[in-house]
Amino acid sequence: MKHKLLLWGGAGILLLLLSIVVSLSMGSAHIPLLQVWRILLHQLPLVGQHISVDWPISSEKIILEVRFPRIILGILVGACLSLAGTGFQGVLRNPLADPFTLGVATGASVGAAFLILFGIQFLWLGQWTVPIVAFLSGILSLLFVFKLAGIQGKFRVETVILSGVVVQAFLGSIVSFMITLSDDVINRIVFWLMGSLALRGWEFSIILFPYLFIGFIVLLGYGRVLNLFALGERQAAHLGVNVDRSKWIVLIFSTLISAAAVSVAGVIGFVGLIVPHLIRLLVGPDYRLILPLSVLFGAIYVLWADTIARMLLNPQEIPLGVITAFIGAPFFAYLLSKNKKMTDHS
Amino acid sequence: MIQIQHVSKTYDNRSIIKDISFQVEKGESFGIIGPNGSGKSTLLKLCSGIEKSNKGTIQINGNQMYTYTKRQLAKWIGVLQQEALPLIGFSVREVVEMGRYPYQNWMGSEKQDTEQLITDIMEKLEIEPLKNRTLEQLSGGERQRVALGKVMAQQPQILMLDEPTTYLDIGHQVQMMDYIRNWQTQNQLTVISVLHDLNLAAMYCDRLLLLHEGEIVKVGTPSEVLKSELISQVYGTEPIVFTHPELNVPQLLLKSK
Repeated sequence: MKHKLLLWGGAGILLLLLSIVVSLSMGSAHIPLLQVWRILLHQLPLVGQHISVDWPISSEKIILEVRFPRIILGILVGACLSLAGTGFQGVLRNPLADPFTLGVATGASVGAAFLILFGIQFLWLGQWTVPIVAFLSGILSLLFVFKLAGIQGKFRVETVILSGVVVQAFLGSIVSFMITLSDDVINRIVFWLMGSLALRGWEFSIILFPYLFIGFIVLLGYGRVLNLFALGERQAAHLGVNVDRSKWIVLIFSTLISAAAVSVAGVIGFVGLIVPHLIRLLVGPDYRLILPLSVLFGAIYVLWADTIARMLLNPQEIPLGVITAFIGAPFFAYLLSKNKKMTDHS
Repeated sequence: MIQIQHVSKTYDNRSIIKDISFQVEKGESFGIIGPNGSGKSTLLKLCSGIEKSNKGTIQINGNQMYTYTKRQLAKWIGVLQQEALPLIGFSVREVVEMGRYPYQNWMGSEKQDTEQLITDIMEKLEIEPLKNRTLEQLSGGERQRVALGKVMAQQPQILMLDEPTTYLDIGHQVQMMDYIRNWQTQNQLTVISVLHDLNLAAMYCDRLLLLHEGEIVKVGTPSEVLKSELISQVYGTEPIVFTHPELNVPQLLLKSK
């Protein structure tokens, strides 16, 4: 187990660091890769003073104030969505569970669409109004899903997904109705729905980071419990797991993490569904491995998806949610069929 | 070791278990038998602590059950279920190690090294050669042995069996019960089992409890309980009862009406 974690974790961290630097050098203003390294190293204490400044100040500004915050936010959003998806899938023991099938994203969309429709998205709190309202409405809708699936305080795992789909369909129709009502030429609601990391500064990353950090520590502590859940809830109970409490804690933290991510970046589908699956296909069913590796590879996935989103039709941007689903779905289908063939042979 | 006093359980005003009292001593093998719907499984769930009784008390080693935390209880009581382990990708060794959960801290580590303990258990159950296979690659009998290995790794004082041989053929049934009996005699283990098969119950239990519609009909040795008239009164079919030529315990033959 530890051997596997070191191997995959090490590879993941290297890949992430490499991806950050490569992605930093990509953009409409051309900045060579070597210069990106030098600008980054220059920021470090001790090492920094040995590097002479031989680049235009504009390059440094582009790297540090435009591209870097966006890349870090992408990494955090990817890590959050993928971590939350792992949590949901582990507790509900259902491969279809993710922040979107459970209705968090649609709930958040209702809040955001409402604000945008009435043009009050900057009221009260400026740029924070949409994220905060989306966060609250996302959590409310998931609480409603659990309430719907619950019988006397206990919920049945099988009915959670079903209630999620029902609630999602209902809220989705409200969002569609609001889109119809708004008569902008470029529909801002639709754009928010498709997800984006553009024009978001460091503040958004600073907001998101504690959710990821605390959520990760808590969920990692429940890794062994999620493994026992895979054997069945009764088996877990006989081994001394407090089943109800564990379920609630994992669900609540997964909800908070995903609502936070959706509220700053809009709807970025497929990450929470696909990354945990991919990791499971690679390293097996042990959540002590799946949780940390999902965080790493979710980060890498969204980082590259966002790089493609801003580069492919440069200077025009493609919505991030479009890219994550467009690459994610076929890649997933490929892995699934390959894995099936492998087990058929053995 | 375990003392059940005036325990009752109702679900939606339907009374499943009615005022049941009995006790099981350390090292004893105690069987619960009864027809479908008599409340056997519910009684076992109450004893293992995953269901709460509406009335009455259960004591483990002289202390009330509710004074134990879930983890402490898991160190006292292990349960082997009827259903085989699900087909998931964990390896045999990983599943056996999961039995150590109640002893681990939140980081998943333990004070003493358990490598040898796990290996010994797997050798005893002859699943050591399968240790790197995943559950999907095992037969039903092998999977049930892995489940037993997991319970053995839990090192409980009391083992509860919920019809553990239901889905096994006769060869694997006897093998399974023999493994459990060896464990019991070597470790002074207390065993409480719900068994469907009355002949197996007679062979492997010191005392039997016959349950009918949530009430105790009789508690006693197999030869006191497995009597033709009691069986026909509870099960609605009259068997031929004779004595096992080697083990000297009662065995039943069925006859059609």
